[in-house]
Amino acid sequence: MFGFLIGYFSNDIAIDLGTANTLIYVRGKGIVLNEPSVVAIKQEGGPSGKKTIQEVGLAAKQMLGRTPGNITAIRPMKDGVIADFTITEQMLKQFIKKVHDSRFFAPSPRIVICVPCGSTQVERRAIRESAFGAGARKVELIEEPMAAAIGAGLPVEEATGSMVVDIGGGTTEVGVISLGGIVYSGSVRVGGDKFDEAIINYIRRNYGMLIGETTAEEIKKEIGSAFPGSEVREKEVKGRNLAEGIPRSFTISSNEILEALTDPLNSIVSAVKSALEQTPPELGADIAEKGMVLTGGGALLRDIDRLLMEETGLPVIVGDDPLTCVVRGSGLALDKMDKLTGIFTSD
Amino acid sequence: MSELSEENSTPSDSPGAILHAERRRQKFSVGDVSRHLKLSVRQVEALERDEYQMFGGPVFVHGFLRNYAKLLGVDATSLIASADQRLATRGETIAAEQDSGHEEAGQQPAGDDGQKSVVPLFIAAAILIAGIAGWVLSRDEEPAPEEDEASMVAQQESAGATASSGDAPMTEPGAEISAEVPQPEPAASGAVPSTTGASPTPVVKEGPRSVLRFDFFDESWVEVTDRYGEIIYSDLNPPGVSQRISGHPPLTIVIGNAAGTVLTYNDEAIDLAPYTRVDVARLTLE
Repeated sequence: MFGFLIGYFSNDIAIDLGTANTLIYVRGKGIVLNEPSVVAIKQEGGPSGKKTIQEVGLAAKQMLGRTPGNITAIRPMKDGVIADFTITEQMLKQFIKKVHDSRFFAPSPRIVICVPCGSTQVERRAIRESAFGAGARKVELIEEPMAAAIGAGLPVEEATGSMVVDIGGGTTEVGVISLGGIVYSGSVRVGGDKFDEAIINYIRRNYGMLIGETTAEEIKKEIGSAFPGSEVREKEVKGRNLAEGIPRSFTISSNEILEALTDPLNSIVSAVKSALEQTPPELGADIAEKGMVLTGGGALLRDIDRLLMEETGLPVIVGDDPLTCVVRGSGLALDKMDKLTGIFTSD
Repeated sequence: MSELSEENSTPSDSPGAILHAERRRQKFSVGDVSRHLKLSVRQVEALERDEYQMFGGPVFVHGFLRNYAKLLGVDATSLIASADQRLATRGETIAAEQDSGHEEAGQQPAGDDGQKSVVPLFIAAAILIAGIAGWVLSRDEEPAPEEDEASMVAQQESAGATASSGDAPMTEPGAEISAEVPQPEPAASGAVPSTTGASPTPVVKEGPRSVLRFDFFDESWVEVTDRYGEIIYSDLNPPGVSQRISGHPPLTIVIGNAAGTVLTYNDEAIDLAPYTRVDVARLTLE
C-alpha cells in the first residue's frame, strides 16, 4: 500500500560496478559519482591486526603502487566480477554513503546494478548480496549489453537489430538486441586491464623495464592505438630497469603499443565476429545497415572503431560519452523499473 | 542540397554542405567515402543532403557524422551540434529523443527533481489530512466526560483499613459513588487496595446494571470489562478484601487467581471452575 510512498521518498540508484570505475546514477539527479573501483586498506598492529578502510575511489587509486607496508591499495573487482566480496561490499557502502541522502525519513534505496552477461550465477549472487549488504532495499540486476544499448540511445524496443560492443575494464560485452530483449550476448574477459597488462609485458620483454599499472594506463590513454595510422605518437616513460635495478626513462611509440595490444584486440575482434556469425540473418541485415555501437572506456582507444570496421566490413560508431553509457542505461532502466521488468535478469 | 536546408540556412553552413565541400576539396568521391566508412553510397549522400530520417536514431547520425568528419579532418563537434539544431528546427524527433534520453539518463543538473511527479505527495498529504480529520471526529463523537464512571463503583471495604487510615472513600475525587455501596467486611489484612484501576474518565452509559462481588481469600488480580468494551475495574487485590463492582452487562471478567476468589453475580454465586485454566478464570456474564 505504501510502496509508492516509500519509492517516492527513497533515492533509488543505478550502479555500474565496473572493474576500473564505479559510476552511480541517482534518480532525478543524474550521474553523481564516477570514481575508480579501488580501495586502500590500512592494517593496524601487525599482520593479525584490525583492517580498516583508509580511502576509497580516486584517493585510493592515487595510492596504487605507492603504499607503505601497512596500507594496501587493491581493486576488489576483477574481470567484471567480484574478486573480494568483503572489500567490494565496503566500497559500495562508502560510495552509496557519499551519494545517498541520509535524511531521517529516507528509506533504503532500490538499486539497479549491472552484471557482465558472461558472469556465473554465483558471481551474480555475490554482486546482489554485496548490494544488499551495502544497504539496498531491493536489488535488480541488468546485463551490461542491455544497459549499454539503452544508454547509447539504441532503439532497443523496436523490431530492428541493434548491436552494441561494450569494452569495459575487465570484460568486453557484445550484445545483439531486438524488441527489448537480448537476442545474442557474448562476453570475453578482455578489456582495459588486459590492455594495460599487455603493455607492461611488452615493455618488460622488449625494453627490460618494469612499469606499473598506472603508467601503463597513461601510455594507453595517450598514445595507445588499435589501428595503424599515418600519425605516429611518442611518449617518454619512466620505469625500473630490470637488469640494473635503477629507474630509467625511455621513449615508446604508438606503433609499438599497437603491437603490444595485438592479442587482446584480436580477442575482441573474435568476439564481435562470433556474435555476427550467430546473429539471425534478418537482424544481421539491420546491423549491416546501421552498424555496431561501441561503448565503455575501451571505445576511447584510438582507432578501435577503425579496426572493427576493417575487420568486419560494417559501419562502427562510438556512442556519445561512451564511458557513461552503461550507467545512463541503468538509470533509464531504473526510471522505468516498474514498466521494464523484462529487461532485468532473474538469476 | 536539399530543399529544406535551403529554406533554413545557406547551403554552405549545413553539416552536409560542409562535408560535401570538404570531400570535393580533398578530391574524394562518394564511393571512396563509402568504402572507407563502410556505409552505402545512399547513406553518404543522405549525410551530405542532411537527410537524417533514414538513420534510425540520433546515435547513428552522430556516429556517422563523427566518422565522416574524422575522415576528412573536420571538427565533428560543431557538425553534430549543427545537425541537432537543424533537426530541432525542422521538428524532427531525433534531437528531441536525444534530449529526453539525456535528461532521463543523467544529464539533469544536480538537485533537479523533475523526474518525480508531485501527485504522490498530494496523495500522501490527502491521506494524512484524512487521518487527522478522522481522529478528531472520532474524539468528538465520544461522550463528554461525566461522573458516571464512578457509578461503576469500584469500592473496596476494609474495616481495618478504614479505621486505620481514615481514608474511607477510595474513589477518585469528584467521582459519584453509586447507590450500591458495599457493606463493610472484616478484613484480615490492613492493606488498603487501590481503586485506581477503574478508569478515571466517567462515561455516560444507559441501561440496567449488574453487580459483581468479589471476595478474595488469596491475592488475586481482577479485570472487568463492560458491554462498551471499557475496563471498569482492574486491580490487584490482597486477601481478605471484598469488591463490589456494578456495570452494564455483559461483563467480561478475568480473575488471575480463581482458586482464591469467590464471585457473586447479582447475589448469585458463580462457580469459576468451568472457566478456569491454569488458575486464571475467563468468563463473560450476561
